Amino acid sequence: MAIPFKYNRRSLFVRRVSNLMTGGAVAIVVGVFVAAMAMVGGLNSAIRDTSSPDNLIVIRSGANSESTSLIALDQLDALKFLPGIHRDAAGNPLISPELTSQVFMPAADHTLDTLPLRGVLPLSKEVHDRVHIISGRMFEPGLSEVMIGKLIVNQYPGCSVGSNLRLGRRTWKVVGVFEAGGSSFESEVWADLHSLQEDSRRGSSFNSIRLKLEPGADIPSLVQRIASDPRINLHAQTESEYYREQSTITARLRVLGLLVAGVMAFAAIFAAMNTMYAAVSARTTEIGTLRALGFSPAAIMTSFLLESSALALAAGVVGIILALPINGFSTKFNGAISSPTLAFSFHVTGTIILQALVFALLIGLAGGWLPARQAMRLSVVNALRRT
Amino acid sequence: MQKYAILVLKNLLRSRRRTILTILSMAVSLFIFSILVSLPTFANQMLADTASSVRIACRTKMGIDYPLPEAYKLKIATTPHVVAVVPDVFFGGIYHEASDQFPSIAMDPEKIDVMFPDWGFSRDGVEQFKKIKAACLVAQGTMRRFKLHTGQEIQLRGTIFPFSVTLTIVGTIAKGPAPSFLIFRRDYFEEAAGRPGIVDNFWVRVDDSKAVPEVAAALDRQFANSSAETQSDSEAVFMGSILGRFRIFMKLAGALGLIIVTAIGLVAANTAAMSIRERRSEIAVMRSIGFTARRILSLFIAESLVMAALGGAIGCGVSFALFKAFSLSADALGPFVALRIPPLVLAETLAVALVVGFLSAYFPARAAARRTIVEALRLVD
Repeated sequence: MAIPFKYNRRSLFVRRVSNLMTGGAVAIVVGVFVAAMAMVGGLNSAIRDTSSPDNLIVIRSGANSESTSLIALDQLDALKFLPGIHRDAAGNPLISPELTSQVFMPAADHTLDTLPLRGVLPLSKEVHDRVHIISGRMFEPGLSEVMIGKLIVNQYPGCSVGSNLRLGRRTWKVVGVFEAGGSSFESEVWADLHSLQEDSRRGSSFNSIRLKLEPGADIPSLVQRIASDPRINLHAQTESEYYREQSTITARLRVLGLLVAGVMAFAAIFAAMNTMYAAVSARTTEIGTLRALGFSPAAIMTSFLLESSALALAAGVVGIILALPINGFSTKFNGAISSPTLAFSFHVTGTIILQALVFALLIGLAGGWLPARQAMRLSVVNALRRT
Repeated sequence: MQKYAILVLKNLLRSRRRTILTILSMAVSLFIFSILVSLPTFANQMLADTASSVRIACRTKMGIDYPLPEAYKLKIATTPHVVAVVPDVFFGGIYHEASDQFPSIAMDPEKIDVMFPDWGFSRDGVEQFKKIKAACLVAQGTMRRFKLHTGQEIQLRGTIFPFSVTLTIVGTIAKGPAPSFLIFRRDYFEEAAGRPGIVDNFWVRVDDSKAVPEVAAALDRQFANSSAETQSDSEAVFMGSILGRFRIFMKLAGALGLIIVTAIGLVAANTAAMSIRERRSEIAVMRSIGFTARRILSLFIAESLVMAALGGAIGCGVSFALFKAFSLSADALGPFVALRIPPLVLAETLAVALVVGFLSAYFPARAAARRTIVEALRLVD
């Protein structure tokens, strides 16, 4: 027969100061876990959501990202009419040659934030089908006009519709704001490709070419063709592949977050063990009495494990509640010098909460295991005699 | 004194399991703490080191793909108070594997010893660098990491630029601004790149640190409203702005550190409270045979301090050894690239451990020591 849980609840209450302190430590560790995962999740979705499943990105072979790639105009011309590329109603292939530029924006304490400035064509909006203008309009080609992602609206001076925005060598007029399904495009500024080529003095070159695939297109043979055609000789991959490779920084952050939470978990486990050992030794007589009443050693062990798990779970819930306010908290993320500022927000998802509860439970079980086993192994006679 | 030390030790050994668990718990937390504070501490140290510098960084205000024209060098050199100008370009090549990246920078060789007398160039290194066009000077951290030796030829594959450079190591840099980097000559870079005449940053040395703000302002004024505007800052501000890019990490590390200290405090206070609770009647007996409340208080605090010090020592030892073993120049931790644990961090960690150890024992012990003897003796649990 199992020992009623009421016994554990009351026991926890008797040593409330000690249990509160241990619970506090567990809550802190679980809170750190939730915050770390929420940050990694937010960053990941900002990077991953950038991809469209039916888009290819083409860069220089050997380049590891858009910003280190360089493509010439004749390569684009050779690529334009390959089979498998989707066309719009007028028969134009849905191809978007793009130039990316990292421009500086003055931020606090003389810091220069890097803002991604992307040169595109009006047609590019058809290729990036998740981009929608939410206010204003698309820029006019040939004019110094830009549209900005919704995450940078009002983040820097001049970042609102109708304002003048000083970027690179010139002053641009902000004519529109777009959203892009939570992707990193939302922290970019989009300008006319040719205006940007002129402003950054980069002739007629591009960094990358994005293209929309026809439904049912033969992707491997198109990729092969782009690589082996001597006039093209570029590296193509699907956008989802590309962005998966680009998210190494979040993979590292994830490792770091898990490492901190994991190591801190050991600190919490040791604290829980301390409390539970003290509970077992203070309740030696009680354990003897329970055994004398006929409860089995297994029931005793289960009862103590239940007690430490309940304590850790309750603490876990507190930890999750403490970490909840960061949900939706958005911030800017700067990686290395050459990588752009990425705006993202913390996402506390259901999965993370579930993981955090499991994490708390594991701490409770690990911390309670040895003390509970000790309680189980007490001999009835000795336990009762020790008064 | 000695007999009290024995008493403290005996008490610690009385509940060995609890003592060990507490020490381990603190060691683990302090280990993480020391790693977390290493980044901000490292940053602060760097800023303090450059505070009295007479160098100015004059860089492009526009963007990464917007370099400055090399013709600015002459204009800067003729500005009053300017002693030397060294233009540089970030090349950023790859040595062997893509993960083997370290900053490689092309600089004009003539004035580097005037500009950076504090970098600790190896003897003859600078002279050779001025003579040989394909020469490079390598930071000692990089030398160690890739087991390089002076005289060796190395090839760096360009990432931003579509060409490779082949360089001969002519000397080392002992105390540069980063543990791992390399400089080579800008004339070599210009030749390989087809003479674009570009500069990312002009290092400017002035004759007096008081002249720094004045010269910086004069430079920016000179290039204002041109097609390539500049932002000039003192070296400290420049370093601060580079480090400022890691603001979010600094803030996170700081916040996490504080949270961890709270957790350690809770664990230590719990241990102190438990041992005091068990020794209530013992305290009363000690009081009645003449121990003062003050002495009992200090005995408990000493116990807690010993545990905290041991935990801190273990935590620091592990992080120190770990950083030594996997010299974190391998960029496994991203922005924490090439950070080492400075001695200051170890000192900070130990200090935090001791403060927490003291406070967590002080409050429960004071309450226990103040209780009247009669009351304490009567308390039976």
